[in-house]
Amino acid sequence: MRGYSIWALARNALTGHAGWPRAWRSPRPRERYEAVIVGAGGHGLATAYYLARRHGMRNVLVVDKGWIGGGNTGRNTVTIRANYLREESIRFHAEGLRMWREMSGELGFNVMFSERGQIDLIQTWAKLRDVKRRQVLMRLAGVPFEIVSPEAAKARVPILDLDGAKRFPVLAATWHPSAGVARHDAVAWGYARAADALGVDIVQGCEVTAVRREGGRVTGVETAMGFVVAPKVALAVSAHASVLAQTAGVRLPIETVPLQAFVSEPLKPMLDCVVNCPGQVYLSQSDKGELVIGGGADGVPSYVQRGDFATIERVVTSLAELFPVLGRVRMLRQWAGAIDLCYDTSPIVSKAPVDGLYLDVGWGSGGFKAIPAGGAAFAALIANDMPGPEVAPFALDRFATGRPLYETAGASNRD
Amino acid sequence: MRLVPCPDCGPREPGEFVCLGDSGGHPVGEDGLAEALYGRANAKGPVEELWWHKFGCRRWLKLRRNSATNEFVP
Ligand SMILES: Cc1cc2nc3c(=O)[nH]c(=O)nc-3n(C[C@H](O)[C@H](O)[C@H](O)COP(=O)(O)OP(=O)(O)OC[C@H]3O[C@@H](n4cnc5c(N)ncnc54)[C@H](O)[C@@H]3O)c2cc1C
Ligand SMILES: [Zn+2]
Repeated sequence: MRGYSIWALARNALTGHAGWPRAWRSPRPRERYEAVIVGAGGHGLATAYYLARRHGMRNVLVVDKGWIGGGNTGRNTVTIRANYLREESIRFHAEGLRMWREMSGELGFNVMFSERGQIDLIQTWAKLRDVKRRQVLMRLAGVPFEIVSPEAAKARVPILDLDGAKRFPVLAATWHPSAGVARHDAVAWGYARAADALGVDIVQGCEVTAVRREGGRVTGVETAMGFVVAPKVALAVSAHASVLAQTAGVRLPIETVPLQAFVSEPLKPMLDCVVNCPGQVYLSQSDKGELVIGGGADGVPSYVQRGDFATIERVVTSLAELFPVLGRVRMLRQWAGAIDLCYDTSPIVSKAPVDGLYLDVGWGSGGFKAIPAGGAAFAALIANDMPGPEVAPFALDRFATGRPLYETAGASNRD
Repeated sequence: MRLVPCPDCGPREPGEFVCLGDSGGHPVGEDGLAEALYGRANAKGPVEELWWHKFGCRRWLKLRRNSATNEFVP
């Protein structure tokens, strides 16, 4: 794999940029693989990369019905943070933050990770109780996260308006300095390129119609390009987790729900951290100056990547109320991704009750940040046929054994 | 989201309703209680759901919808 560098840029500038090689091949799927990963989002691609890099499994296929990163990975609002409620989640995401810092170097691809910190504005007493509890748990895990005054938040976010009568006055704020943002496409492309260079086949535009099993074992997948034999099949298909798992006779505690996002016209720099108002609205400013805005998930389960108007009204109302200076800003784009919302809003990284079938689903509204740590953990699970300690709590059987991991810190959580 | 067809009030804004999900449920069977409580069909295509017209006539409705298009089907 030829590296990207300032020298390569200069060399190619002199030759009219005609000399750049393709970042990955476009092979036809072979007849059999050691493992097939369904879904070429960030999770599927990172998993393939770590399978090849750390576990020597290179005879691997990543297959997607659409294109690389065309699912939720390419639709998300890129907040990366570790301020969760569950000890298991905090530790998992703290390791993720460490991996984000090294990702551009490891992949040889600039993923534009920017550790700019996050402020949460707390507007209900229930949420204040929740962040008090999280502050203690974060401290125990050694990840900086503290409750600060509304005025301290205002000092960091000058566009915030604390005056006047508000439906939900700001009661307090939290500060999470190691949170950040990254470039979503670059993450998918960086992992795709690095996995491809290690010999992984990535096939786009090829739908998997069913997981085939014989008795209690997986034998391969039916695809639009024919049957592919594989002793190990890994699902990283987000919205379509239930649909594909059901072809292998597995029901999941997951609902598919639209989650919307909005991007404003480009503005002068006015916001240098992520701001989140739990359950209402969150925003950050991209390097191009556009405000990237999101809110909670829609209330109606759906596979349609569009979203309903009630959510737009809710998000915009909160936005204009807290940041009146944005009241007349025009929105450039609005879209939705169909997210895989798990019953307890924690993910499922697990063996399925069918031998050779592995699940990395249920990431819901928060799986972008989990791409490096999730990919590494899922690869280890597939290679060893056993979860490592960091993801063992996220097993599918946690519901049957009475150990669900109810989370409060997701964009899709309401109180 | 399409307008929701309420038999009392006619087609109304979805924001007036609460969607309470799959109307069928899942009987407690051989696959156990956890499956019945937590498992979801999450079908892509026709689904039958309970809707509550919270900010309207407050009636509970059983409606059929296509989760792949959001269209309500009679
Ligand atoms: C609007 C929005 C905002 C978000 N904001 C954040 C955020 O700020 N921070 C954060 O951490 N997370 C966020 N998320 C969540 C995050 O985007 C996802 O959890 C994450 O991208 C999931 O990655 P993935 O690789 O598992 O799934 P995806 O990127 O969705 O990839 C799944 C792939 O599977 C493919 N596929 C599906 N079915 C089949 C099939 N039958 N055959 C072949 N291929 C198939 C799809 O085409 C798709 O490419 C957000 C999501 C949305 C929608
Ligand atoms: Zn009505």
